[in-house]
Amino acid sequence: MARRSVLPLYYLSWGILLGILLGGRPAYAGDDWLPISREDLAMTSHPASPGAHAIFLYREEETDDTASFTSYYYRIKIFTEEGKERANVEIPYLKQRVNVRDIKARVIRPDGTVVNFEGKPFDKTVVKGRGIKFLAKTFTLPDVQVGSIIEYKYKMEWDRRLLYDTRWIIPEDLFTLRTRFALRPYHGYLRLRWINVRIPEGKLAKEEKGLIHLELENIPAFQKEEYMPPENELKSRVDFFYTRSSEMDTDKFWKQEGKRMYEEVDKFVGHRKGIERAAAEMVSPHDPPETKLRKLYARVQQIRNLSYEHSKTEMEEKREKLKKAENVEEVLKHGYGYGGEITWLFLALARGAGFEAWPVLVSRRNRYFFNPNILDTRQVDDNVVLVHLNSQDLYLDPGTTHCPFGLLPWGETGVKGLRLEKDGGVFVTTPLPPSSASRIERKAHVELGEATALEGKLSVTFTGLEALRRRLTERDEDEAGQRKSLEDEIKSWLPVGSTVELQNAPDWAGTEEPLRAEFKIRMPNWANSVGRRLLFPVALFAGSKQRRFEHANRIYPVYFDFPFQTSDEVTLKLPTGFQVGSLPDARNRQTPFGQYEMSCQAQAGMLRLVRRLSSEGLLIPLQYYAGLRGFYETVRSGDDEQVVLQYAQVDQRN
Amino acid sequence: MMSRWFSNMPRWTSATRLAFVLAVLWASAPGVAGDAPGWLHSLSAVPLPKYPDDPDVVRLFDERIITVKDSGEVKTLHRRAYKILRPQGRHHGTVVVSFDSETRLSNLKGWCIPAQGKDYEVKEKDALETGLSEELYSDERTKILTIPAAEPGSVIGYEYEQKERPYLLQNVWWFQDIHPVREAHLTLQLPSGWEYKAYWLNHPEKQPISLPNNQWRWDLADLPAVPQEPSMPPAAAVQGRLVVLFFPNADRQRAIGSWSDLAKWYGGLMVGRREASPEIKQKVMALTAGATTTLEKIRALVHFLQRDIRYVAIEIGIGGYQPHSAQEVFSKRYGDCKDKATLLSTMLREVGVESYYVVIHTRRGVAAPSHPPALGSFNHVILAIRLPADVSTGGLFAVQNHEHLGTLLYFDPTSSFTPLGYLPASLQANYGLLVTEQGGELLRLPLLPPSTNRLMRMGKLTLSPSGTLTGEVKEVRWGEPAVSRRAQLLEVQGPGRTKMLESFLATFLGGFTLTKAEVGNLEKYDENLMLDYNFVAENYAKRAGNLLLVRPRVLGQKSSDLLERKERKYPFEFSTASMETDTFEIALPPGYEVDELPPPVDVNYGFAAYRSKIEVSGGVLKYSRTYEVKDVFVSTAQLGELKKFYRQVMADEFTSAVLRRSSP
Repeated sequence: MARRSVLPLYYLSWGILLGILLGGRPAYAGDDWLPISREDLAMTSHPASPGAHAIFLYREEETDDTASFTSYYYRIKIFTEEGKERANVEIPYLKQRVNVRDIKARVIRPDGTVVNFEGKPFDKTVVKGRGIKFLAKTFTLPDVQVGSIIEYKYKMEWDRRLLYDTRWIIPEDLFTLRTRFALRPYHGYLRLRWINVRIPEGKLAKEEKGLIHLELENIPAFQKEEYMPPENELKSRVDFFYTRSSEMDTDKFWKQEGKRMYEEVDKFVGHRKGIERAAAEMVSPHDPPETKLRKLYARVQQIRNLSYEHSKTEMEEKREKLKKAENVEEVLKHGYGYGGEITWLFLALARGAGFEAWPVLVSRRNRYFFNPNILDTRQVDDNVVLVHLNSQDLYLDPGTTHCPFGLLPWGETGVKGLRLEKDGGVFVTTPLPPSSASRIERKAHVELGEATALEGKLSVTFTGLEALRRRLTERDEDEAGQRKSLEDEIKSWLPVGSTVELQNAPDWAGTEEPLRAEFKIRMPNWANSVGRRLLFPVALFAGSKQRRFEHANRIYPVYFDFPFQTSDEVTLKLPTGFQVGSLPDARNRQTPFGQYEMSCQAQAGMLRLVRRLSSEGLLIPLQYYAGLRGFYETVRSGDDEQVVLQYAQVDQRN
Repeated sequence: MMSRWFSNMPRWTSATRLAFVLAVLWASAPGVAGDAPGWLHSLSAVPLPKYPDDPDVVRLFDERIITVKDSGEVKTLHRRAYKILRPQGRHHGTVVVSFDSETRLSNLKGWCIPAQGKDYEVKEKDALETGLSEELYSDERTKILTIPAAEPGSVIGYEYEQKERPYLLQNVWWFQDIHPVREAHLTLQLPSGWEYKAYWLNHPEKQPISLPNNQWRWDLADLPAVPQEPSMPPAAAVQGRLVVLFFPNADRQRAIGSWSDLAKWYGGLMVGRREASPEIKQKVMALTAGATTTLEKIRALVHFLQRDIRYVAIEIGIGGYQPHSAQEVFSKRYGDCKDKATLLSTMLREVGVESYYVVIHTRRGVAAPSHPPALGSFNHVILAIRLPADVSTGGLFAVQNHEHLGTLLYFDPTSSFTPLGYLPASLQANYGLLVTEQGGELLRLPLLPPSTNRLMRMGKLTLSPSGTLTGEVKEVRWGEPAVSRRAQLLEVQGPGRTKMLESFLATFLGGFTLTKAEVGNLEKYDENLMLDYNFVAENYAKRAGNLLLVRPRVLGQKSSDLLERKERKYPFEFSTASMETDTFEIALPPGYEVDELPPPVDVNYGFAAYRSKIEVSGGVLKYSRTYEVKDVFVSTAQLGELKKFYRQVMADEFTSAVLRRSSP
């Protein structure tokens, strides 16, 4: 359950935090337990969830917004020893806002006898201080055995002057045989909207006699997988939100809200003479349009970006006397601002320099994907600028530090956004950069020594989103930390025991330039000596990437953050006395998921190894998983192909 | 676990981490403008030497002033200061101080002297409090105070007072840290007529300065950092500390001066806890009704404890050390380690078998005969079962002959998957405090021989001319390899077990398909764990001209790169002695013959041995190897040998056999 207030903002944040803490803890009011069937008592497993430690036989969540309480009811069947952990119950709550009462719990043994929980729940302090008191009602049920059913219920009530939004999240971490959700809405000056997200047709939540309810059966347990889309995009749910807006039509809602948001942005950006003058000072009238735009972009990125500073205490903020900017002119004047403000300053400067430019509110895809049917403007949670340049649309986000001109941070790429205009604006989609825009290029000159060690120099260049990601991650580190981070990453590409030493000072503070790093590397056990031969794999940097998609089956689609490429060129000097015995055949596999090329050539005591890999997909539907896995198996197999060297003086039987 | 035993050491539980995160989220400690105290200012100007390994912070100052009252009440003033050198050291600005219902915390204050600008001050009212802990029920709480401007270049400091009436009159001063320490001071003020005994651990003995009014002060300076190394002994085994015992000289028996004294104290807490109720007696009769021998009866009771008594820790006040009564544990069917030991001991007594508490730590090296008796030396309780003469020790490995008590069988009822006769790895070769009616003693528990911890992997496989490897692998595990794998398999649900096996195979095979996976005896903890799986691995062998290159060691990794990282300072510890064997028989593809084979390997050091060989017979390549850990301790003098050992194992693991096409 995630609950948000539509009342004052400070209530809103507490509501969200409470929602996080309450996530997935179900219950019920009153003393009447539901009847238990013989089948439930005798159950030892469930075919829909084989091998499960426990399942929810039933869970219920019923909210009454006219009386300000939610009642929860959980019934859990224990199948294994590990499942007994479910008998430990913690119900977190915010003491100032919520009261937890009527906690009842019991254990039903497999023979049907009942052991009631007679103890008093322990109030565990989660966090207390500065007027906050987060507690957790904690108890454990007695005499829980494999085969037992445990059930508990409780009621959570809150101040009648408050109203929270409700979210029913359907899947839990256990299989659920049967569940029921209900909401009795408040009727007053606020309107309630709700939307079913990934609820099967025919099972949608419906309103009857003033009660919105949903009953579902056989809900699989939610599981995590590597490369999965954001959890919010996979869990079925029903979102409720109270609003002052009476508009229920999707298009009209976004028009109406777009207009309102445009006015807000316009108030901040406006048409200010001072900005026009500033823009004129930043560019030369003779500059080509793109140069002008780049200059403005570079200039605003020099403004101190408060969004990327280490969190400060109230005392520090007070002492620094930072002023809140009321408009873009003040951002420029102060010389500091939050990322969003800097982006709007850029919008104003671009306009001031004569460009056609629009504010765009986008929905980052880091945590969820935009759904226009959810009439909630909080979905569009970030801002970019759309500039019309040389007949092309260019999306820019200078408010993200280190973000190069022409690129957006990955969460803002390929997403829906609302281009704000006076009449409300239109939906647009930001571009998804091609894989060639985000590359890792590795060039190595190495020598295979007389033993089996390989050593030499490595040059690595990160471009586009690959560079941005690393610069953002390491922005808070000092030089030693940044060095260690890079060296550790390179080590993860190489066999265990390899040593890596950074040789240059990469430009961590840069934006437009790629991130370049030079290393001295040594792999003590690179080649495998077998009799008169030396064997080694053709790929130098295969490392841990080889283990992608190791499972034959998957539940959810595959989701990559952004398309990317890696390109390797290795020049390897052969050891004295050895010559090439055999080289792997070149490979080139092109699929919708990406391309893999590998080749190996020998010339004058040198080997030239080339490997290129691109990943083109973003969201790969489940039905293509086998194909995707096959592609990465090809990559691994190709990377494992062996180069065979042999002593030159032995007979050439091979 | 009994976390209270460990409460005087710095603890970073996952719950504390969560609270820490919450504190940082709420890092808006209002604070006030105020000057830092003189003691902190005097530190900020001191020039620092260049420290090795780029430490995040330097602990500039550590002071503890202990004032003991005649009543036994102890007041301790703590003062500490750090200079933050690197961004990673910022978290030292978040101060975490523990207390509980029997320890009063007061006067918590923190300051920052930033590199530029005015000082900051924060007080106790600015702190957050959390009661989150690993235990379900605990009265342990933590105050979290966020000091402003904890940035590189800043000097931060804090102080607080604790008042307590400790169960034992002793204090453990952990003066060394993972960061360098510039200076550290301990002052002890005792009432008149009291005296003390000081024990230095992992540090040369240092005499205190005697001050007026029964006061003493110990001063230390320039203590090196204790680096964190993988598989090193626990911090408590290597970190310098001073244990001070204090007592009135007219009442010396109040001092816990020996391990026997500590055992007596603990024994006192157990009095009356092992009384069997009629229900317990009835249950024992029911459980042992079909048992014909004493050992069968013991097994039946152990089985009940492991399966039917759930682990739940309830640690309020003295409950951190004292078990609940057997009746209570039995009726609720849950308890922590000492509760489980109490109930099992009670039930064993009903079948005529005596048993004794053994208080122990779950890491080796925290307690040792050379150490003074201290509460923080232990965090766990198991049992020593006194085997009657009619019980044969065949198949029971965790046994030891005791001079007075006869044959003792050590057993840990908290470890659900460790069968009777075995002992969890971390308790082997570890010191535990045996608690008897007469007092007790510190004993070294046995290290079980390698043959009791076995993993045998046998593969019968076929290689095709295209390099595809197909076949079946069977694993038999007992002892620790069975316990650890069983725990992993039981933790995951349904398809998770197949995924676990796939992840294991993916470490060694390329494009593979798992075609069969069966687990035998998963829930029969007393029996061998069996794994049986089939797979098809395409491109396993690599073609190179008319050669086929095949890695004979198909699965399993015994080598480690732990010693290839940084230069080590501390000894290395294996988790357990063990013997692991692999045999892979690979039927060679028709038309191929062996061209070259890697040589056999036979290395043997005092702590471990490794042998491998490859034979070819009847078109089958047979690779076999034995990896044996003989001793869990590898001294610093032996680290070079261990490094060499691992390199030799690694070379063998990655070597290939070369096959040649013999016919077109």
